[in-house]
Amino acid sequence: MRAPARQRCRTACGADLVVVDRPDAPFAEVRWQVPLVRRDHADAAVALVAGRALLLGPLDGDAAAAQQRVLEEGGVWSTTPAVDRVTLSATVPAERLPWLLGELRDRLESPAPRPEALQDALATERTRLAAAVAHRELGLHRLLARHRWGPEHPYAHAVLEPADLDAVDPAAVLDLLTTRVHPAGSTLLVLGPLGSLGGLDALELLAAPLGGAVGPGGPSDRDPRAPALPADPGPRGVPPQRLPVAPHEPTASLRLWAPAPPRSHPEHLPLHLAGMALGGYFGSRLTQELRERRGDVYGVTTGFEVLASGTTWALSLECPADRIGAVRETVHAALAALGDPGADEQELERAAAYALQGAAVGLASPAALASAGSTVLFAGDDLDLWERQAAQAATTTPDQVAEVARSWWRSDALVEVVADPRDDAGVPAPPQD
Amino acid sequence: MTPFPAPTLERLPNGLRLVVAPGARAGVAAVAVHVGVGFRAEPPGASGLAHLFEHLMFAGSAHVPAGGHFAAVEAGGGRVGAHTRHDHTEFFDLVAAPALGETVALEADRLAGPRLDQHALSTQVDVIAAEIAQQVDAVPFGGFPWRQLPAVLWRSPTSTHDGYGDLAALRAVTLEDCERFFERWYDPRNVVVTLEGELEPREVDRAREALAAVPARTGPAPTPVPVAEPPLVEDRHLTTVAANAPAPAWAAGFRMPDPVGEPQLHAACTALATLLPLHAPALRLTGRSGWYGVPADARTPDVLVLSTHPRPGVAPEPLAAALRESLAALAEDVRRSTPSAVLRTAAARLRHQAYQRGERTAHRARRLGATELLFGDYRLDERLDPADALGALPAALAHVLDQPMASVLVTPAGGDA
Repeated sequence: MRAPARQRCRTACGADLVVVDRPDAPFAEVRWQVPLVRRDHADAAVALVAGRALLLGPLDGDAAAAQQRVLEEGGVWSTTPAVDRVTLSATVPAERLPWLLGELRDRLESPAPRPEALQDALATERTRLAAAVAHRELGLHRLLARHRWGPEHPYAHAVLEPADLDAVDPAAVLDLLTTRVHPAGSTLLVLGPLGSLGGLDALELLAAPLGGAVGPGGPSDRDPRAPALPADPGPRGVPPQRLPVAPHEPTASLRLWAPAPPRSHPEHLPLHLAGMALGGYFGSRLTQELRERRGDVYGVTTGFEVLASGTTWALSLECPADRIGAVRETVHAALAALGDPGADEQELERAAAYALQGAAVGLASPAALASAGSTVLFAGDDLDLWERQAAQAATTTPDQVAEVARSWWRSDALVEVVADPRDDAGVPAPPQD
Repeated sequence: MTPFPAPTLERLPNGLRLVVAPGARAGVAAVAVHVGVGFRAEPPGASGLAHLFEHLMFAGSAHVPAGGHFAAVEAGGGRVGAHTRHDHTEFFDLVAAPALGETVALEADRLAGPRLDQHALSTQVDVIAAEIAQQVDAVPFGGFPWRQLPAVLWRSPTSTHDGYGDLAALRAVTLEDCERFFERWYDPRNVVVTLEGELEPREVDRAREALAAVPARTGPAPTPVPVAEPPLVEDRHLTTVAANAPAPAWAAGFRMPDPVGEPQLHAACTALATLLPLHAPALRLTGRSGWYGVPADARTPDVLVLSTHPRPGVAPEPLAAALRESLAALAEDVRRSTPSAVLRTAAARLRHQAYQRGERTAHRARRLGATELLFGDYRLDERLDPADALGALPAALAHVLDQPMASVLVTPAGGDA
């Protein structure tokens, strides 16, 4: 996938601004990823509500009023709090971009939500969490994060429950918004039909409401006021964990996580290819064996969770409860086999073709490219990532892929969680190396 | 943004319809294949056969090994998908533009005849069992309201049976059943293929050639099964328990106008699903409403669904009354000379909703093909834009308020928490 033509700068407010012209897009897409590191579980609850409240202006009585304000400009917006950031997403007519960027900067630098609007945000978030609590995925993710990062790590507080919000004081939310949410260290991707604004030359126009350009932008030009990021603890030697679920449930779940190198690391792509060959697409080993030959699963997925200062490789699948033992054995055997003897050239070519050419297909729409591109930028990379990966794939050998599979998927690195409804089913011991 | 050239339609000698729709030049092309058979055409005792056959279409064909369709498309980074709906089955591929002709050749090969064998049949029944267990039963509110509402709204087993599939019935399906199903329904006269996106003329020619080679059938062309249903004469409510409902959920269904005969009214009803502000704090009704799926994706009669999560213990009747009060309040708002904020920004909201819906894989190709197959008009969506139908909101509100509703209230198993 060829990198899109772009312009980049660091702005006076501290945001790393990247501008991409997409004449075929009907709207401009904006993704502003702002760092916000959670300190502990109680702080995570405050940060979650703060993330939801970020767009509330001084005259907004609730979130609907904030949404109405942007609709009056012909756009929509939303925020997505995560364990290491808050993402502000907006879709607007391109000519309204200067207004939008100025408004978003105001919200980040001068938060002034009304007390009743904060109460509304808190109530809405409690309702949302209450509805989500039945999703098994949350329990799985909570266990995985706790064991991947360690119980006290900021990234362990990824999943919250309604009761966690009981102690949240709206004053603490406002204090967090005022003292810890700031554009410094953020990345801001603007992608859309910029012809009326000067195409790529719109960079200057769009930087103006952000205080103007003060540097070239990019990872080496990060704003010095940006918050410090937590360290990745690496492998923690965690035994397999079981998530209890109701005994009548017919489905078991298997999740595997492992620390992984960041996208800029030379071993990231070989591990990506190993993951693809394992379970990343329909032709992968696990999809063919578990779905097409045995009918045990509807699908298998593999991929990466890339946080600001830590990357995790992940595999997930569901299967009938009475087959989880056999499925688990197959998954571990396949993991080991990709390390020794590994995949052959043809298999890796297929995996690389899907992984890399698939990026061009999957990111063809402006919204998809904006969302994926902004996460790449926030992790300290650039939009030429896929082009560089394609070049690296052309010279990556099966031995290199096998070596990284052995290294990154070794048993002390894997974090395994099984959700199994059977009363008598303890998680079996992990396989021996 | 430069408008795309208008789509075109041609009928090939074997009767297959081909829609060609140049679109965004982002290096990607979409192929959508629509076959005029959905779960409403399943014979009695074979609930889920259309869905099973959708799976079997990936089991190989004369020149494509089992799994070969996925392998070939994925080799170029493409995406593959398929769905079974009320009245059609759709297959779609999103590929790099130069791979269009090759991809259509794969589609043409299986349209000429899939490779049916017992192993594939047995395995895919297991895969469907896993799909239902994992994607529906294990998901909070999975299948709501479609597993419950049709039986309240309609009368005929054609429209009320479970289209996901009855696993016992599927395990009894034979290869001969599958062969008969293919012969009856997968007739090129009952198929629409749509090419959309960045279309290179040479690739379109290759695609046309491959599709023209699908053998023509003799005898009468397939005709859609009758789906007419009598209108409701009074409200009908069902309260039921669902193991995967963690909290009460309520959905009300209303019969939609015909999209071909009354496109403005249909579009305005679609707008209602987005704009209706449901507000009844005593019942804990919030602003959730909405259309389930895609408008005009099934033949008439189709249904508009409005839903919410009420307070535990509230019966359907007061919920129905509260919904009608909200509809009446919106009707009053529409009549005012100074529009409310909701109505003032309605067009923007609806345009963004359409834009977000367009993010579905191969969305435009799928809509062109579906409307051609279902309604004989591949450009029907151009007349069904809710943002252009706000003037018909009073008529849409009257249409909904003047008819009985069918509703389903699901409550959690083991209590109404």
